[in-house]
Amino acid sequence: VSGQQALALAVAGAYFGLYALTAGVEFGAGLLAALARAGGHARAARLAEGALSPVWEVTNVFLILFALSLASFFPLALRLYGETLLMPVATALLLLLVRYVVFGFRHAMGDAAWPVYVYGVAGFLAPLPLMAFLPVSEGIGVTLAPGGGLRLAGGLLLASPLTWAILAATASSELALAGTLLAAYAARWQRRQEAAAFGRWARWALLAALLSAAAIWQTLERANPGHAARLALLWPLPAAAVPLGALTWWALARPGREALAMAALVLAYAVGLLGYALSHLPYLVDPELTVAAALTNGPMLAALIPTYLGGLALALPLAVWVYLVLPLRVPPPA
Amino acid sequence: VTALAYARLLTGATLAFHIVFATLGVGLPLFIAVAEAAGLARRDADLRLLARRWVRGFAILVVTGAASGTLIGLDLYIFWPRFMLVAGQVIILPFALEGMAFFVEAAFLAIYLYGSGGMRPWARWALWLPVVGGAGASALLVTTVNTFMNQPVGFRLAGLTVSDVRPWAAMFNPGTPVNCLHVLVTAYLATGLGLAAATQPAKFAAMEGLLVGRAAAPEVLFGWPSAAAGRIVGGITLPLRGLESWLAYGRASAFVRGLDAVPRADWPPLIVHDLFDLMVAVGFAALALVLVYGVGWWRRRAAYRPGRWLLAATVVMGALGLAAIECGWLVDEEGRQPWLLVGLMRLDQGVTTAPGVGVLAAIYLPTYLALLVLTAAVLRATFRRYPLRFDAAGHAREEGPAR
Repeated sequence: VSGQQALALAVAGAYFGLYALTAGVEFGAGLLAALARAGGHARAARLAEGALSPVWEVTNVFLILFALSLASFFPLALRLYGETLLMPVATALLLLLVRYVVFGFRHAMGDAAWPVYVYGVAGFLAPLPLMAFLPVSEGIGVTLAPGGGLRLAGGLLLASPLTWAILAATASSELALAGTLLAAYAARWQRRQEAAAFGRWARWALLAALLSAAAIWQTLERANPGHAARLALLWPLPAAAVPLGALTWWALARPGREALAMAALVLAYAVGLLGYALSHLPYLVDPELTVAAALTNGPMLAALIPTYLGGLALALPLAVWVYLVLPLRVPPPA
Repeated sequence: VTALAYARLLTGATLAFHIVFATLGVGLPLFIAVAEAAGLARRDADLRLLARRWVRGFAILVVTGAASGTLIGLDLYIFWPRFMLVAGQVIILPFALEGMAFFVEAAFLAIYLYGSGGMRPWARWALWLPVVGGAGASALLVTTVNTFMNQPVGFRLAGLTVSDVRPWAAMFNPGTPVNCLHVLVTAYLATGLGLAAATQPAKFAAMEGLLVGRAAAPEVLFGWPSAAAGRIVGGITLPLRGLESWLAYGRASAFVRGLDAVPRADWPPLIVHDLFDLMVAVGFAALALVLVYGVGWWRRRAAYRPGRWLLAATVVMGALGLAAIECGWLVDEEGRQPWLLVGLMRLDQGVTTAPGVGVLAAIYLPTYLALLVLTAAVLRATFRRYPLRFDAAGHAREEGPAR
C-alpha cells in the first residue's frame, strides 16, 4: 500500500469510525429510551431521549461524509457497493427516514408512548442492513452478474454465519456504546439510579459485543480464510480490545468511573476495528477489487486530500463539542 | 415499465420533495439572521419576535429537509452507480465540500438551539452565521454539480473510462457563476436565458418551444409546441420583432437554433416550454407584488399597513413561489433529457442494473406523500401550541425548543 493509498484509506476510515461511534451511541440510545419507557421508567426514558436530542443531524452528516469519502477516493468500490447494496441501503434509508421524522416531530405528537417505540426500534434497526457492506466486502452474498460486475444474492448473504455474527456485533455495540455514554451523562447530572441502570444495560451489551466479535473472528476462518490469516498476524490489535473491554466492564460497575468506561470502550472499538480493517487489505471487495485498483486519479487525489483533511480538522473539534460538551451544558431532562 | 423509468421516477420524486425543504432551508436562515440583527440594532421587539417565530418553523422544516437530503445523497449511489463512477472521478469535489458545509450548518444549529442559553444576544446571533453560511455554501456547491451535468468539462470520457481530469476546471465550469447567481437570487430572465442559448441550444429551444430554427425569432408565451405543426399552437406571440433572438443573443436579428438541429431521439420533453413560461410568469407576479409594497411604503413610510387583499395575495405568492421552484427545476432536469452528462452519458448508461427498483418506487412514493402531509400537520400543531402570545411574552424560551 503506497503513501497516497494509506492516506486515502485513513481518511475514509476516520469518517467510517466517526459514523460508527456516533450512530451507535444515538441509535442505541433510542432503543434504550423505548425499553425504559416500556418498562415504566419514564424518567430514564426522557434522559435517554433528551441527552442526545441535539446531535442527530450531526450524526447524519457523518453518514453522508463517509459515503462521500468512499465515492471520492475509491469510485470503483462505490460502484460495486452501489450496485450490490441497492436493497439493503434503500431499506436502511426508509428506516432512517422514519427514525428522523418521528424523533424530530415527537414534541408535536404529545406525550404518547408510541413515537418513542417507533423511533427507538426504527433507529436501532437502521444500521443493520447498512452493515451488509461488510460481508459483501468479504465476497460473501454476491454472485457475478450476467453483464459483468456483482449482484447481491440475499439467500447466500443470510446463509453465511459471518453475516449473523456481524449483525449481532452491530446490535450489541449500539447498546454498549449508548448505555455507557448515557451512564456517564446520568452520573454527571447526579442521577445515580439511572446511571446504574444504563450501566447494567451497557455491561450486558458489552458481554454480547465481545462474544459476537469472537464469533466474527471464528466465522471469518471459513468465510474468507485469507482475511482470517492476515488478522491472525495482526493479533495484538484485536487482542488489545479484550483488556480494554474488561476495563470498561470494571469501570461501569464503579459509580463515578463512567467517563473512564466510555474512554476505554471507544479505545477498544478503535483497536478492534483497526485490526479488522488493516487485515482486510489489500482488498476493498475481496477478491474483486484492490485498494490500488480502486484509487481515483492523481489530479483528483491531489485536490481531495487537503479538502478531506481540512474537513476532519473542522469536524473533530466540533464533534467533541457537540457530543461531549453540549449535552452537559443544558439542564438535565426532568 | 423499465427499471430506468422507475429509477427516474423515484429520483425525480425524491428531488421534487427535497427541493421544497432545501430552498426554504437555504433562504430562511438568512431571513432569520437579518430580522434578528435589525431587531437587535433597532431594539425592535417585533422584529426579534418574527425571527423567533421563523426559527420555530425552520426547526421543523430542517427535520424533513435533512432526512430527505440523506435520501437523495445516497440514492445517487444506488440508483445511478455508473454515473457516480464517472462523477466520482471528476466532480466529487463540490459534493465533498457540500458535505462539510452541511456539517458546519448542523453543528452550529445544534449549538444555537441547545447550547446558547444565557449568551449575550449579539454573541448568540453570531452563532447563527455559520448556519447561514453553511446553507448558502451547500446551495452553491450543489449548483456547480448541476452546471457540470449540463456542460460537462474538465475531463475526457470513453465508455466508463475517465482520463485527463482537471477537478477544479470541472467544478468552476464556465456556466457556474451565472447558474449560482440564479439559484441564490432566482433572477432568471436576465441571466439564465443567454447562458442556455449559447451553451445548451437543445434545452433553450425546448424552453422556447422553438421547433424550427429561424432568424429574428419572436417570443411566444405558453401554448402547446407541436412537432407535427412545427410551431407552437395556441400561444401568445409578443408584438416585439425578434424579442426571443434579442433575449438569447442580444441582437433582434440573430438566428436562434431550433429543435430541428437536434436528432429527434435527443429531444427533451416539449412540456418544458410551458413549465418555463409558468416559472417566468410567477417571477413577474412576484416582482409586481414587491412593487405594490414598495409604493405603499414609499408613500406612507412606517405608517404603511398592507390591506387584506394584498396580504392574501402574499400568502398565495408563497405557494406560487414554491411551484415556480419546482417548474424551474423541472425545466433544468427535463430540458437535459435524455442526457445525464450532456453529449457524454445518457440516462440508460448510468442507471443501476440491480433488480427491485419498481418495488422501491411503490414503497417510497406513498411515503413522501405521507411525509408532506405530516410536516404540514406538525407545522400547524406547533404554531398552535406556541401561539404568537406565547413567544411575545418571552417565556424564558430564548434557549430554544422545550425538551
